[in-house]
Amino acid sequence: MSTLIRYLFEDFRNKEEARFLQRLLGMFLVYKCLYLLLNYSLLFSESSIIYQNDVHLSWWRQAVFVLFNSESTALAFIFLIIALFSAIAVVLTPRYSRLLFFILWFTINNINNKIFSTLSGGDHLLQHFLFFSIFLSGNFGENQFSEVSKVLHNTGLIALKIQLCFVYAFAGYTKLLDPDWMNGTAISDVFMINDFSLPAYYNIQPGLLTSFLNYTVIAYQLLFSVVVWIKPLKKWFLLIGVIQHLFIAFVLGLPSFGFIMIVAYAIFHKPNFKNYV
Amino acid sequence: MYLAAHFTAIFLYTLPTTSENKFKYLVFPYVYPYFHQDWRMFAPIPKQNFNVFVKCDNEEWEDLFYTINSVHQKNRLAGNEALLLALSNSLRYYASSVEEKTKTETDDQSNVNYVVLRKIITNYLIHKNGTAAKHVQIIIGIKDVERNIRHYHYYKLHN
Repeated sequence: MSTLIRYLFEDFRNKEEARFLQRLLGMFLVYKCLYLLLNYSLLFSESSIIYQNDVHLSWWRQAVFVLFNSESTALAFIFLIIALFSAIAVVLTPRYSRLLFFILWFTINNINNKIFSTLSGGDHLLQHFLFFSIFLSGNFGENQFSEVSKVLHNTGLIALKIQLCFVYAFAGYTKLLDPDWMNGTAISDVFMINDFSLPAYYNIQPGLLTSFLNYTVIAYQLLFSVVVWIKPLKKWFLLIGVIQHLFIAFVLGLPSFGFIMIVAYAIFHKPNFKNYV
Repeated sequence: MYLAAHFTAIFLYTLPTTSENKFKYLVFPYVYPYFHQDWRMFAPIPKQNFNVFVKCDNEEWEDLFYTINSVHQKNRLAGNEALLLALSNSLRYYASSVEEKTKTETDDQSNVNYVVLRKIITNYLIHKNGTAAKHVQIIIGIKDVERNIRHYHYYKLHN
C-alpha cells in the first residue's frame, strides 16, 4: 500500500513517455481530422452514407450524441476544426494539456458517434486514451496544486497502461475460445476475405508460416500484460508489436487501427531516436 | 479505488460468455456510452466475400464493392478506409439477416440492415455521379468462403 501511495504522490512518473504519448496522440488526431475533412461530404453532409436514427438516452449520456442528434451539417465541421486546432496545440505546446485533451475527448467522441458505422476497434481505444490523457500533466510544473496534479497524472498513467494491457489480454483470451485461432487457420482464413487482404494473398493455403503467425499473435496478446513490465525485454517486444500493427495497417487495410495501437505503445516506452541516428 | 472499480466494470461489461451476460446489465449505466469497448478483434474471423453490382439508368453494371476495395488496396492511406468499413460492416450485418438463397427481394423498410446498406449505396452513387439516378438496380452477392456457397439478392429501387 505504501509503495502505491509513494508512486502516486512522490513525483510525476514517466514524464518523457507521457509527453511522447500526448504528442503522438496529437499527431494522430491531426491525421484523423484531415482525413475526415477530406471525406466530409460523404460522411457528414445531407447525403451522407451514414444511417441516421435519433438516439435518446438519459441526459448525462447525451453529451457524446450532441452531433449525432443535430440536424445541422455545419456542426460537424465546427467540431472537426476545434479538434484539429486542439490536436495541433497538443503537438506544439505542453501547456493547457488537460483542457485540450478534454476538448479532444468530447469532440472526437461526438464525431465517432456520428460516423459509428465506419469505426474500428482503434477508434474506441483512441477515445479511452483521450479520456485518461485528461489526467496527464503536460508541463509537470511545481506550484501550490502540484500535489493534486501529481496524483492525477500518475493515476492517468496507471489507467492508460492497464487499458492497453486489458485490450491485449481480452483479445488473446477470446482467441483461445475461437476454433479457427486454436486450429491455426485464422490467418490464412483472413487472407481469403477480400476486404481484409491483398490480391496476392487471396489464395494462400494454411501452412507452416500461417500457423506460426497465428500462434505468435495469440502468444503476443496473452503475454503482453506480463512482458511489457520486464525492462530488458520490453523494447524488443514492443518492436514486434509495431511490425504486427504495420502489417494490420497495410495488408489487412486498417491503417487507423494499426496506427493508434502503435501510438498507444508510447506510454510504455519512448525510443531515444538520437541513439538510432 | 476508482481505477479498480472502473476496470472491474469494464471487465464485467466485456466478459465473453456463451449465455446471457447478467453482469453487463449491472454495469451498463456506468460503461455505456463513455467507456463502451469490445476487444474480440478477428475472433471470430469473417467468413464472407461480397459483390455489390449496381446499374444506374442506362449505364453498365459495376461492382461497387470491388471498385472501392481495389482503390483502398492500391493505397491504404488515400482516405477510403471509412467508406470501405461502412460498406463491409453493413454488408456483414445484412448477410446475417437474410436467407442463404438467390432471389428477388422487395425494396422496402422491413429489414433495417438493408435500409442501412441501401443508404450507403445510393448516397455513394450520388457523390460519385453528382446526381441521383432515376432507376437503380442492385445485386448483392454473398459468398461463404468456408462452405463455398454463393447467393445473390436482386433489388430494383423505387426512387
